[in-house]
This record gives sequence, structure tokens and C-alpha cells, in this order.
Amino acid sequence: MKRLDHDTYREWLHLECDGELPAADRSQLRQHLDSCADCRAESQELVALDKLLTESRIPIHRRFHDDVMSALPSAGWESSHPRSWAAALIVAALLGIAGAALLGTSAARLEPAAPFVAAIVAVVDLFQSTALAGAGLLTASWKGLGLAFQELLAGSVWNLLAVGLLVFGLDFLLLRLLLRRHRPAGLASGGEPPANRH
Amino acid sequence: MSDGTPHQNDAETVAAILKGDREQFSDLVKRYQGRLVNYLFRLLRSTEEAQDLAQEVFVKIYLALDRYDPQYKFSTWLFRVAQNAAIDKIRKRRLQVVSMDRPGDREDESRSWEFPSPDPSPYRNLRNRERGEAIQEVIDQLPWEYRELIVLRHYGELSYDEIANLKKMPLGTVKNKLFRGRQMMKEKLHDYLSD
Repeated sequence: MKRLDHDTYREWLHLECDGELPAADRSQLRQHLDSCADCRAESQELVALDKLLTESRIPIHRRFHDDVMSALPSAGWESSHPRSWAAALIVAALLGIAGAALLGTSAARLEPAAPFVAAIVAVVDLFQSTALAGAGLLTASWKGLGLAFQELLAGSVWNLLAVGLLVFGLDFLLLRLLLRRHRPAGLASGGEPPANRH
Repeated sequence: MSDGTPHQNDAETVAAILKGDREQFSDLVKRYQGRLVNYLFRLLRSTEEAQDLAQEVFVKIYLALDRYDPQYKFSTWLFRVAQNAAIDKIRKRRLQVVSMDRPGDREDESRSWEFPSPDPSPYRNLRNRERGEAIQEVIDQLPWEYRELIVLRHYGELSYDEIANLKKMPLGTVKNKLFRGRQMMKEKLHDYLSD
């Protein structure tokens, strides 16, 4: 066993307190402590300091963990993960099934089919008819609106002038609204300007 | 002093999260929340700010998890991010004129310095408060180079190796600075060490 100076033992006391002293040196330190009252006192002070600091740790909020977990946004790396493709894959699969069903019903119309297939064909036909009817109504209403405007404008010069004034008024109103939005918030609310920072 | 969870598990946990098991991040939060909040509290001196910033750090870490290099310890990375966030916060605070002297802040600080105790007597309560304030004062008086190492060791519960990696300084320097920092603290807190 090599003979060490007092300062080295004092450094070892700190390492021992932090659990960083190698096991091989620990027994030598213990032997030294048995014979050195100064180092024993130093050791007790270090243990007391460590205890004091440990006791001064603050508790965390009860909801801290839950708050962190609920604040997690979607990370960029998550988009490259298979799980994030699951929803898209399900939608694609459903679209595929719907497409196959449409093709199947079209084929079934060409040749006599079982009652079950005929029922599916009837439901699909119903959906198709509803969609076509909706599209037709929409087109008709736009067309009707266009015709009404055409008649109004062709009626007289006064009608044309009135519509022109209406459009001009609406444009003016829109411009006012846009300008108000771009005005600084402090001026708009009439509040005081922010204090200077030093 | 540590939570008892081996550090090699951190890398495995991160790998599991990156494979899509988002709930595993909960384990990392539980593992480090106490250490991180206490570390930030000793630098910021406000429980509210420390907890808010710790939450921000966890979110930041989660978002950057794919950039974590498993050859380094997760704790080192986490505390480096926390340290930078705390330094930013302190800088911003210095730029603000009013925030440092608002009465509400001071109340928050003094309350936070009390030792946590389930049912202390009035005398004990006062004594705890005194000790808490004395510790914070002594930590604040330490030179920054000692202070951050003392806080990393005693409140972040990092090992010498982790501190050396985090601060990018030789192991011998870490030992030396901790030794000197603790000697200073011992002298100033001498009256409380005999309790």
C-alpha cells in the first residue's frame, strides 16, 4: 500500500461521498479515517452537506407528467413511421373496395346475377342517382342565377348603373376592412405604446 | 443518488419510441422529471418557471428524438438542452426591467426555498425556510463555473463522467471544480451542517 498525503485523502473523501471512489482505494481511505480525526470531521461535514442539499430538493407538481404527455405535438419523425401511414392505408383500402364494388356491379348488370348481388347493384344505383340529381340541381341553380342577372342588366341603363354602384360600394367596404386590419394594434385600441427596454 | 434506472435503458427506450411506441416517452419523463425540475429551479430560482421550462425541454427533446445519437448518454443530451434553455431564459430575464422586482416573484421564490415537509411545527417551518434560503444564497454566490457543476451533481444527479461529457471538460477538472465548490459551500453553510 502506497503512502499518500493528507490532501489526496481529502480529495478521496469527496469522491467517496459521490460514490466515485474506486473500490480498491476505499479500504485504504477507511484505514486512514480510523487514524485521522481531521479527515473524520471533514467526512462528516461532507455527508451533512450532501444530506442538506438532498433535503432541499423541491417536489414537482402532481400533474407535471400528465401535462408533459398531453403537450407533446406530432414530431416530424413520426410521419416516416409505419403507424402514421395506417390511416392513409385504411382510406386507400376503403376506396379500393368501393371501386371494386362499382366495377363488380357494372359487370353484374351485363349478366343475370344472384339476389344478393342484385341488392348491392340496386343500392349502388340509388347512390349514383342521388349524386347525379344533386349535381343537376346545383348546375340548374347557377344557370338560373346567371339568367336572372342577364335579364336585370339588359333591362335598362338605370339597372346597369345601380348594379355598378353596388359593386363599387362593396369594393370600398372591403378596402376599408383590409386597411383597418393592417393598422398597428396599439393605435387601433388607443392604448399606450410599449415601454422602452433597457 | 440516481433514480436507480440503468442508463443503457434510455437508449432502448428512445429506440422503442422511434419505432412508434409514443407511450414509452412517459417512462423517460418519469425517470428525469424530478432531476430536471430541481436542476432548473436552482438556476432560475422560481418553481413555476422551472416547471414550465422543464416541460418545454421535454417537448423539445421529443421533437428531436430522431437526432439522438445512442453512443452518448441520453441524460447528457437532456441536460445540455436544459442548460441552454435556462441560459436563454436568464438572458431574457436580464433584458426585462420589471420582472425581477415584482412582489409576486419574490413570494414565489421564498416559498420555493422552504424544505418540503409533511407537517412541520412553526419553529421547524421557520428553520426549514431559513435553511432553504441560506442554501440558495450560497449557491447564488458561487462562481458560475462551480455553481453549474454543483447543481448538475447534487440536483441533476449526474455522474462525474456525465458532467465531463456535458461540459466538455476533462474528468480531473470536474473533480477539482466540485471539490472547490463544495469547500466554499461547507464554509458558508457551517452552522447548518451540525443540525
